[in-house]
Amino acid sequence: MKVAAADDPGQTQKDDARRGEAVLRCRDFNVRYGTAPDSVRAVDLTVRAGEIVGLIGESGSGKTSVAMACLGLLPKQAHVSAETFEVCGTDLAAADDKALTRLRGSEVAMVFQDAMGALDPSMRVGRQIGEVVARHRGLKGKARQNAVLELLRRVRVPEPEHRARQYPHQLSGGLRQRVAMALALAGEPRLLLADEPTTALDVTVQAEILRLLRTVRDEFGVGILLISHDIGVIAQTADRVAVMRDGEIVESGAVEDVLLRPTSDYTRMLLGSVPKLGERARRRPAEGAGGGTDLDGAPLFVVDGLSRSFRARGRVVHAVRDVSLRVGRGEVLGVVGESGSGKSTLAKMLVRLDQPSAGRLEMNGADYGRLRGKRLKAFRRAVQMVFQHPAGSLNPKLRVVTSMREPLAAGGVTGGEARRRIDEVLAEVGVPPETAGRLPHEFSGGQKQRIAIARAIAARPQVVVLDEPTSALDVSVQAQVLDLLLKVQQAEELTYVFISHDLAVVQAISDRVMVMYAGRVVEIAEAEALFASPAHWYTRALLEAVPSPDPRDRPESGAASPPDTGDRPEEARGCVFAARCPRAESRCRAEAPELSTLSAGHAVACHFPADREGSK
Amino acid sequence: MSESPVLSDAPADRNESPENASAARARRRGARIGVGVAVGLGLLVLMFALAYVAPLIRPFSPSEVAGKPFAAPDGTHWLGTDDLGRDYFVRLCVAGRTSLSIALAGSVLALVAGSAVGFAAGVGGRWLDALLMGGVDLLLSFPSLLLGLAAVTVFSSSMTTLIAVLSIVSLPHFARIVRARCVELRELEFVLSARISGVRSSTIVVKHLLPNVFPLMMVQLANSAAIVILLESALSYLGLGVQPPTPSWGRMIAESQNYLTDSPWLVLGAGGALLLSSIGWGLIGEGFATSRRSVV
Repeated sequence: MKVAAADDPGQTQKDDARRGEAVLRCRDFNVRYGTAPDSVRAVDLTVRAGEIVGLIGESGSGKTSVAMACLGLLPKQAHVSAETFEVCGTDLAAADDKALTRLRGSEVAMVFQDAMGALDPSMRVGRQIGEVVARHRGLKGKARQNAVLELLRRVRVPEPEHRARQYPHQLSGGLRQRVAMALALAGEPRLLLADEPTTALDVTVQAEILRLLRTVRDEFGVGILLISHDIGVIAQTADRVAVMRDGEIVESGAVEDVLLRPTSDYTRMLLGSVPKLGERARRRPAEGAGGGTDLDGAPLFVVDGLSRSFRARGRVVHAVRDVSLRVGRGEVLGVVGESGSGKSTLAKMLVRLDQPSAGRLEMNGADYGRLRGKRLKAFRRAVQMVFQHPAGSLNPKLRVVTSMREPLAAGGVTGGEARRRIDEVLAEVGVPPETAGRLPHEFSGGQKQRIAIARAIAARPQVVVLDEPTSALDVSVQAQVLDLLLKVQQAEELTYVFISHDLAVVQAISDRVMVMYAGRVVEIAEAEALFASPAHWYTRALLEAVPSPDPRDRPESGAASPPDTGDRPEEARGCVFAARCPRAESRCRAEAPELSTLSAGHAVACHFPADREGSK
Repeated sequence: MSESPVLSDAPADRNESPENASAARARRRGARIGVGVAVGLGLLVLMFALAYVAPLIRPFSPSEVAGKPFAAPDGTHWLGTDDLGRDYFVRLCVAGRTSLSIALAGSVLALVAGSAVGFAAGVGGRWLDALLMGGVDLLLSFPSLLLGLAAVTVFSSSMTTLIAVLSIVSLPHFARIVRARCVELRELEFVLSARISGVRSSTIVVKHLLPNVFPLMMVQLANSAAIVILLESALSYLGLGVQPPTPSWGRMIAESQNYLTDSPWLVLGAGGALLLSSIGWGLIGEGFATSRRSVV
């Protein structure tokens, strides 16, 4: 793959071998909804066959409107005007419904964020792809079957014969996205629109899908318009980039030019907001000023042998297994893991929304795992939680001030005193207190999250559990909220348990980091030590999978993808990570490693920790 | 936060201010609810008013023999007379008192009891949920008309019995709808936040769940009122409703069906009243259903 030979647009004519004719060309393209001002303005965009064009933008920037317009799928009240708006040589502005239908599938196809929604849950995936193959290529019987298997093979689905007979819910998230990709490619389109195709996936799976996108570009020769809010994703895949803001393209060009030498302030701001691995610039200002961690004193809370299992259809699923940890007063403990690692279940048990199946939960030396009634209520005041979705954190029917009074009232603070505290915390999180009388839908996502944080700290808790508090936010807002969280932690002398799948975010805020996999703690260490020298192979895999916002870090060739078997690792007898581990030996499959200390404060559950085994 | 003035998360600098947009949306929605609900409400209010006012504006009592039997509609007897020569218009209106008030009382009672069951099942423990929903399913498994028949046969067929039995048979629908919504809502972050803050379950129900379930309850109230009115008429038609001499629509249809060919207005009058009241409730239900603001 010659990705390093990133092209500037002027040279494209010479590069005909790989870069064909334009499959999408729009000049001065506008979309207007009803009587509102144009939500997409004067967009110039060209996608050629065999190249990936990245479209970066935050939510509401109009990037999805552009994609939908290419399919002719904008809602009726949308009005499109353009000087040129051609998809594969067809003028979309003049196309009628019949022409559009012909265009979709055979010329343009789309891959969505949610693969589950794109696949029919009641149909075997092979048949779904087969239908498209039949419609667009007129194949029947055995030929159709072979075409389906060939497609699945080309999107690197292991055991295609077996997978083709499965239903979407039987596939893992990564496989599902591959199948969705095969479905999109089944009609042999020349333009593929990918709208946040990896946003819902775990970071290791995301890396595989990004590799697949590059493979698809080269093998199928399609032009891909890759829409993403994630600069790392774009940097690792796109040949050219366009940055969108408020419906306008503020900057476009070759990926290296835009991301390494941005010319617009907005791109620069966007790049600056991305928390980068290996950078801890955002660390607390008062670290040296005595406000830091006090690990030597008695820990604020202690978790010992905590487990949670669910019974589902006669099978016992261990969501969290034997987790032990200590959190010091004023500490920020980061918890990292992919979906299904048990991190959210752990969070729910920490705040006693869920009852542990086994183990002890202690705070300030007292067991709170089995508290009930009044005593539980008293405990509740000390622990609060902030959730991922700002939209769900506030009751849509209650005014903000009413929602905020709730935790205060539970602690016996009411009336004017409560109002004063509400104004104080709202001001602290940067929301004007005079807006407290409004309803939640009058605030933006970032503001709602600020209010959720204000609500959590209003009753002066000691611990706040943050479950992916920044994941649903745009990068620029995310950076602000992270700053805010650190500021608030200092001001209110809080202890955080910060749960996230995003390693860079965790690194930016945590003192110590715990890595979970399949319900178990696989590694725990001081943040610097963990990111500098990860000992567990899973931690390493996670770190390597994070797409770097620097296009020069792009892997040179498509390395063999790790086997994605879709098995349930928590049922393994030995090490839970053995099936995916590059270092696994027979001992790993037979015997589960215990969490053992490597050096002061650094513990790992691995028989052969990375970079250490050579010394013995 | 001042270092990034280019883009803050404040919505004010966006092209369309969400406040204006949402206000405009609310206004449009308001206008839309208006038509359906207003027509339905108007229809029902008119029927209620007629039920109580008719005997005052017409010089007949519902049980008085006011003229010749089977008189055709004219200026004196607006809808003619029935087989005994009683003024049909007055009887129809007075019958409306029974039917409409049983429908209203029965469905409001069902709303209160059913929602209570639904909330208890939705926020209570797993056992309470299983117990209550088991009971509700049991109730649902009987045809409601059969249950009504049994109850009326065992107890007397007074208005109280009718209201009680009709509310019991429409209770399961409320319970199920409310429970289903509660199960959905209780996993939402704002309910979890309230629980973490140590807010009592009863407060959570009143402050967080009720406002978000209420529109659904209203839709179901209107739907079940329409069903209750028909059930009550069916029971009356079978001779098990409110007993004579109190007139009721169902009984009037039953009594006059023998004279359908000669005096069709008798059946059409009662049937029409039934139809209009069902349409009224239906319109209100529809209005609430379309206006229902989805949560989150």
